[in-house]
Amino acid sequence: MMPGRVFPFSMEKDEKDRYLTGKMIELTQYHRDHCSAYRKMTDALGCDLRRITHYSQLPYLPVSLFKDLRLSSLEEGEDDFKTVTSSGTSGQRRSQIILDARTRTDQQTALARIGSDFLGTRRMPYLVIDCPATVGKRDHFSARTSGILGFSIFGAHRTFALNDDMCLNKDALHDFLEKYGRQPFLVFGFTFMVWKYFCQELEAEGMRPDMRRAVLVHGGGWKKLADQAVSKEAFAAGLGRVCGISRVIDYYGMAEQTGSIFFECECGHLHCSDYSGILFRRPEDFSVCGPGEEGIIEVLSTLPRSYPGHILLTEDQGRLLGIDDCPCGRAGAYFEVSGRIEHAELRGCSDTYEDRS
Amino acid sequence: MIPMRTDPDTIRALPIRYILGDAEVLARIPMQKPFVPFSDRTLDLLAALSASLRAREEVRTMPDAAAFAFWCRRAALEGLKKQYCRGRGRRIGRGVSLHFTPSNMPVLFAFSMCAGLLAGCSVVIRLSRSSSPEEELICRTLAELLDSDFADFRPRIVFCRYEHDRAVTDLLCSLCDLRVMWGSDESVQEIRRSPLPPRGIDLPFAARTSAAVISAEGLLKSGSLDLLARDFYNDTFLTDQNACSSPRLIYWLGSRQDTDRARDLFWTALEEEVTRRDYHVQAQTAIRKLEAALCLAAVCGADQIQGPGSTLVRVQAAKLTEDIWDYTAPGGFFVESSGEDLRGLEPVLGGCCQTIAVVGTDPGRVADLVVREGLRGVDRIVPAGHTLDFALTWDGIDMIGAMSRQISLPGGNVL
Repeated sequence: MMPGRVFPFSMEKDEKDRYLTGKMIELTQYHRDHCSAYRKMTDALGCDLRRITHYSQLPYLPVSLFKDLRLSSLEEGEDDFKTVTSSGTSGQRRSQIILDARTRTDQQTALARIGSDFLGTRRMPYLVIDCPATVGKRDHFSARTSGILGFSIFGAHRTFALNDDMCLNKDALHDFLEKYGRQPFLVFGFTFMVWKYFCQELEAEGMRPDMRRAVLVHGGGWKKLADQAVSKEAFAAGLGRVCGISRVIDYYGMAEQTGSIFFECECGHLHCSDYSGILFRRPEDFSVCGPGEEGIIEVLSTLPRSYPGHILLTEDQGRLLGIDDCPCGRAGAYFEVSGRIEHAELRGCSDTYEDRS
Repeated sequence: MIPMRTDPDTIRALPIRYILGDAEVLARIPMQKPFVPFSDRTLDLLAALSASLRAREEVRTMPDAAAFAFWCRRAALEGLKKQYCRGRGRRIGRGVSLHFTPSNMPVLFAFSMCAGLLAGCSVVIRLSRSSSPEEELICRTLAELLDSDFADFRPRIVFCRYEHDRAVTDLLCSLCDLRVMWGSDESVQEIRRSPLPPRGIDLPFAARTSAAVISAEGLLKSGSLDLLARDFYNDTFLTDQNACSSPRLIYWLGSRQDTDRARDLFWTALEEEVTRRDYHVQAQTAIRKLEAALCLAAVCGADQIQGPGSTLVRVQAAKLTEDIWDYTAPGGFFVESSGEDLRGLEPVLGGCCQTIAVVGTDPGRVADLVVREGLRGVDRIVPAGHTLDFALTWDGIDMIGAMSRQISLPGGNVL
């Protein structure tokens, strides 16, 4: 380990390859033993764990598979679990992810370790750009619920900036800033919601709250904003103009893989922690891309035990920027996400009512 | 004077774009007199359309449009007329046919129009939202004919486009005597929410799937593998394997040794053809294929996934079950099974199975199985290379028969 390399961004390439390969083989075996559907799938793919020399050779499941199948690796009789559903607009199928207590705890720990590397270990007042109803139902989780509750570990005095009808709760915002606005505070929300229900609302209302001390952490993807031609730069500029937020941290992560959360560092790079792995695959044959070459993102996590989600092929594309040499000093791979893979245009008889969504 | 069913002002106010015809024509279309099936004048129009299309330079770069023009050339129409009108008694078109056509089969609207016109009906077509060069060419050519020698058809043909709008669909449906719906199950059900007049008839062409039966012995004897690979490519990859009639399942018929040999030869030849024709899979399609293959393994007991990231994903299933159709994918995805006879194929020949492409075996064998076992599926058995050919009997529906009515006469119908 190089001096200055700190957990959970401590492992350099050789060590990480060895560690992750071992861990992933072990988890693959675990899920083969505990999830019969996973065993059948990996058998059909001809997976022989004795011949694996690197984690990139292990089978990966497309994230969309969790919309088709409810995959569980719970111990027999285990009934202490929650089902997290992915975000998705109404009418779309949602992923179902089964989380038991252990996997949830591990996920919280990983998030705390990774997050504090960027946000510090001191709890800050916590403003959520969402409505209280999102965390209302405790047994059925959405990705938004998980995000809000997950980030609560960095915050105190949790306050919701929106009412349940998604309009701005001006009183709550005013009181929060009155009490905590002069010290560093954490703002969290999904990218699109921060833009639409917060930034644009403030602008429309002519409100200019002073939020210069805020650190905004947001995630969930740029797709909806890109559709409205709002770039990353325009997003940051808008927030700066309306409420003076200057520190904005984007993260990449998904409901389907607990424990894999990738924060953007001061250099604008997304970082892979000791808990995770990241690969980029070519769409033509799923072979692994070279450095800098754009491909479909595969994410690996050492944490999922209650469901076989340790190696997933996402529907996002991105590219590896480098390993172990980011100027921010963190060890491990760093990368960028360029967006969702393109929607395939196929010929053939399809919808007379195409493009309804 | 006959009262109009709908006031032209009401129609004019609706957000419809007309590609052929206009609000006036649409308002008056219920008053057009039906023709007898395959009338001379209709044949003249379609033959002229065929000739004009084939005379155009652009058609050379549009295989779909060229195939359409070839299909409606005069000799072919005369042949169809003979085949359809023999012993069918006195018939006349039902009136106004309304057609909903899909977006990514660019010439299906033209075939659907031909079926309507040949039955003796006038035709209203809702084209899909996005146009294609093929569609544009056919519409332009037809418009020129209607503006010159075939002005008498102008009041009988409307092509239009509109955004999803229940009010417009309601109105169009109120004007028609029958509607022809091409599309996914959801689109067909969506259109069905608009009522038809009480005696209106629906011809639904909803989502279907298809399979191929290849006799291993037949393939080994044939010796024309390149030709078979080309035909099979046309049946599948040419439309991204996303047409209802493109096979997604291959059933190998024969002894184990023959099947193993035939399979190797077939896939090698097809792979070469795919490379030669430079077929590319988009990322999303590649992922869908992997997803479908894994579902088949998890749910339907498929044993082996070959080439999970490749252009040709193959999934071996020792035993076929009907739910296999729920987990297939387009863009180069094949479920394979085999047997000494056709019994193993039976479970997948339920209602959603449309076409069986056959290689080296008698099509009658499949038809016999369907009839003997009383199966719900299989409307069409064709040689490989012909799954995409349009025919006037589709999904088991005789379109000419369904769009025309028979005048029964004393002492039998034949005159």
